[in-house]
Amino acid sequence: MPKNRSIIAEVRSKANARPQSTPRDQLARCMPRFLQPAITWISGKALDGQAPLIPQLCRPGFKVCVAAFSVGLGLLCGVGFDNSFV
Amino acid sequence: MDFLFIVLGWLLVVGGARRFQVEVSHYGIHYRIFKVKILNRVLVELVSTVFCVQDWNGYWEDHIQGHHKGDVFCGPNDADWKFLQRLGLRAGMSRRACWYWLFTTALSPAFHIIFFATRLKANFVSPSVWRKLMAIVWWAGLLTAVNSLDVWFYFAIFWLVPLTVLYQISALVQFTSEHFWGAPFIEGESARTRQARLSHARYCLSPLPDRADYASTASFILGLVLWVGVTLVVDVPARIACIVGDLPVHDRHHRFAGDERWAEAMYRPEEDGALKSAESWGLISALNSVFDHISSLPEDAPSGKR
Repeated sequence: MPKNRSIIAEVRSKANARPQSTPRDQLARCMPRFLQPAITWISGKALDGQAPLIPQLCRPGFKVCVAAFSVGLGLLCGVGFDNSFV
Repeated sequence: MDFLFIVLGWLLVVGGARRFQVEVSHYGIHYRIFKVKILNRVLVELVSTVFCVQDWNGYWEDHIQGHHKGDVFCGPNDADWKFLQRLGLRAGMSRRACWYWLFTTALSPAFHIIFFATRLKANFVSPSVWRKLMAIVWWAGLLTAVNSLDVWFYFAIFWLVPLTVLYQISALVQFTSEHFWGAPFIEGESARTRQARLSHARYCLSPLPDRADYASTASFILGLVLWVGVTLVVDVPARIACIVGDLPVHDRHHRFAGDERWAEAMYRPEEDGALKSAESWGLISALNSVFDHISSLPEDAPSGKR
């Protein structure tokens, strides 16, 4: 086996020997701490022991507000579109 | 710039509308928004009127009776699986055939007509008189306002397009990737274990490229570029407009449908053992998992067609 191939095989076997971690954990390791809430939201997976950034958003009533905010913001994008297009 | 506003506007409107349906209305149907039962119904009827989707009675019938119950969940008679079959998805189809079906269905006028006709029927034909009146009053008021303000163009681009074609595509992708459909029942298996086995967490993040898997630095960089592309073009838009709200951890909802702390499920420890569901990382992987399951089903599996 060529030398570089054997090195790759060795690295692979070491990688396989490591405890399995999720893509979320992998990203957490290489991203700054302040980005963690954003990565949690995008992935939909929190780190072990991670608390929500805004706990109020995790109340059922606030889910209505979040949904309404999303629709409202989307419609507001239309205002920007309209202004620059017409 | 206009293009950017359109794409962002569509993603947010579709995402918000889907959040209203799969989070607000969905947990309303489970009586988990308000403690006072009737308020849940009022909320669901209001939301379904505004977005012209299934009313309380229809949703209750399809979701609670036709999907959640232990003796139908993900089986031949599951209402959601029957809907997918009606659109052409079949047990035994290969992964490639399933992907082809998904793309052609998403772009098929027939699919959009069937879906939209179902929505119109659920608002103007089948519901109770007062719910029909709600729909008539809302749409008459909305269209009058649009006409008075003379914003038909804006209304068509930012309300009609996202809430018909795009909403329906989002729902199709969500439904398709939601569970391992059409699975036969195993004798002696508890309903909760079945719910866990046939559900999966759909995390919207594809696995990062591992340097050890690449022979050269150049190919590793290419892998990273590809990962960034998939994240920006597939996973993030999917999270905004398709796998919205608590849908990434929808598997947990099925194990404990009555959970009062559903809104923070993402932050709570997962189950182990028989109640641990599979995990899919990235929308493409989630769809592949479901398609592989469908392709493993025998072609003559009971279709559950009425």
